[in-house]
Amino acid sequence: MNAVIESTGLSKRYKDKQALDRCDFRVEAGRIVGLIGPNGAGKTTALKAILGLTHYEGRLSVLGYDPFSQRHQLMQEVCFIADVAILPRWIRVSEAIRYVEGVHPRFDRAKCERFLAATQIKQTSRVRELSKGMIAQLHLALVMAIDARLLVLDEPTLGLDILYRRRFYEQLLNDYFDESRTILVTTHQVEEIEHILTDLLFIKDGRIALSATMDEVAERYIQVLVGADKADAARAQRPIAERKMLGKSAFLFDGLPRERAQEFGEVHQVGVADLFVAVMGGGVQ
Amino acid sequence: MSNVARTFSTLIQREIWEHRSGFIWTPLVIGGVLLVFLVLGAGSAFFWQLKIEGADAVAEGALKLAETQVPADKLRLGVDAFLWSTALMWQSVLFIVLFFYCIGSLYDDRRDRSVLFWKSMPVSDLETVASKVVSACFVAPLFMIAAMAIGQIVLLLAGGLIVIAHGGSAWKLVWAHTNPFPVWSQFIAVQGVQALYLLPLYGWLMLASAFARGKPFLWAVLPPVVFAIMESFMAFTTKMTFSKVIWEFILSRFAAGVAPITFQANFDDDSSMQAGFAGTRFAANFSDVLGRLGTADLWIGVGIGLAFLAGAVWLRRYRDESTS
Repeated sequence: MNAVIESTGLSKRYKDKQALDRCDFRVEAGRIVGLIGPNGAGKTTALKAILGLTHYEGRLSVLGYDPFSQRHQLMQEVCFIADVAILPRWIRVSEAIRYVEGVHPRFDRAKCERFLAATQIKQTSRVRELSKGMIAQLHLALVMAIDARLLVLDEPTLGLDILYRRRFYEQLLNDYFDESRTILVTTHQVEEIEHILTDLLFIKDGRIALSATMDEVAERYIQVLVGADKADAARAQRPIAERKMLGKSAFLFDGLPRERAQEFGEVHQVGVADLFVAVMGGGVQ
Repeated sequence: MSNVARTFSTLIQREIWEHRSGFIWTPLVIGGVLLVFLVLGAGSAFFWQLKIEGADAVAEGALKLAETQVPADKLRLGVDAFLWSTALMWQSVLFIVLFFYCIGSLYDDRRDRSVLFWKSMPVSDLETVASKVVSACFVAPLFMIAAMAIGQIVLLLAGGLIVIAHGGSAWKLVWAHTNPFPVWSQFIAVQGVQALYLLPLYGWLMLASAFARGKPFLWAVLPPVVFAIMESFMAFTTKMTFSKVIWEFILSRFAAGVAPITFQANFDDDSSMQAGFAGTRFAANFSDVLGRLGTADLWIGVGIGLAFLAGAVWLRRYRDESTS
């Protein structure tokens, strides 16, 4: 198979904490994978391992490379945006473009300038003069102009307002993503990206809690809005989560057939956020 | 251009962009400051002359006397001495600039986290560190020399104009004896030797810069000082001379960094003063500079410097920065 990332028994221990604990997962080419977990669950450590920024135990292969020992080759084909604040503040926009052009053989200047032309960013500006949203746009323009096979985004829109956040992901989807590329993204704003994700990876306490495609999720998990009269019957079906809303109860079932669920009430698609809370929360509230 | 050369020239370019003020503007400003001093000095002399009856004539007479009585080789020596002494000012300031440049070189981008951007590019840590070493050893000195050349030309022009303003002949007193090219070319060679000579210092500072999680200045300065103090204490009690060697090694490099010509200029020595007035003393000392290339001391230092730099590359490459 055509795995972009393949990990078996990936573990990482810091002094006082097991950040990753025998994680197994696979990311196929042409997917947009959301790596989702609470703070301190190991997301950033996992990304660092994938990017060759940290040592780890276990097996990990990214685009066929060992990311730690073959980091240099890997970086030819992988791009990452750690978060919005990491472009050097002293650099000018024109210098940043010349720099990436100078060091990255797969960078397309014309493409980058086309992306920037659609923004308010001036080439003569320094990064420190740009707003946070503009810095994110600049970074995205630089990265999208690189013909990379894997793009890793770690909280790329943290602290941006909703307009910039939405534009960021729209642009990523429309101008960048195709079946030859793979995107791995972590974010706290799950609701905003769930419509672009093709796969979910939930991580909890350093372990993979769920690894599934969105189709599998839609098939397996079901949310039912149940009136008070049938609530007890629904509860008997062992929902993994229950939430009260407007006098009704929203139950989340794992593996309950759709026809069965319809007997209790309205059946809905499960939102990633609800699923996240259910899986991470560890059961009924 | 091959990919490696292209990457490396881009990395050098990057250092220049980031350190434009230290590499380019600072040496230009030194020229400006020296010019201001020169003009202010001449201006105040002019001001006092107005108050003293006949001073004008005295000044003019003195200049005329100098034109006819002072031998040409002494005037040339005077101009050369002016060129060298101002060159040392540029040199000293450059040393301070480079000291802090090295300390910040592998630390600043970790502090502001832009290291994650640099590391997202296909650039090896060896290339990164090498670009910074080359910038410190050669790029910054070249800018300094260029700015110095411009500054010295302007200063000599201004000096000549001041002589003219006082009724003297700028040509006979200054310009006819001005030939900065030997001084400049020697100074370029001095910079080259100096780069090798200071490599252990640069290497140490960059190692500290790569190592420090905070306060890189203290990491750079405290360990050698503590080490030297402990060593001299041990030497005091055990009569070992080991520490003296190390102390001298470190101190001589600091001294040489601030004033690279001091290691061969010996003004206490009367005979060398005499030799100096004989005319070509700076050229004679210049052979001492190149002579350094033949000393074991220099190359041992280069070896130590490379070892420090290897450590810096290793830290940059393999150390995990995460705190969580």
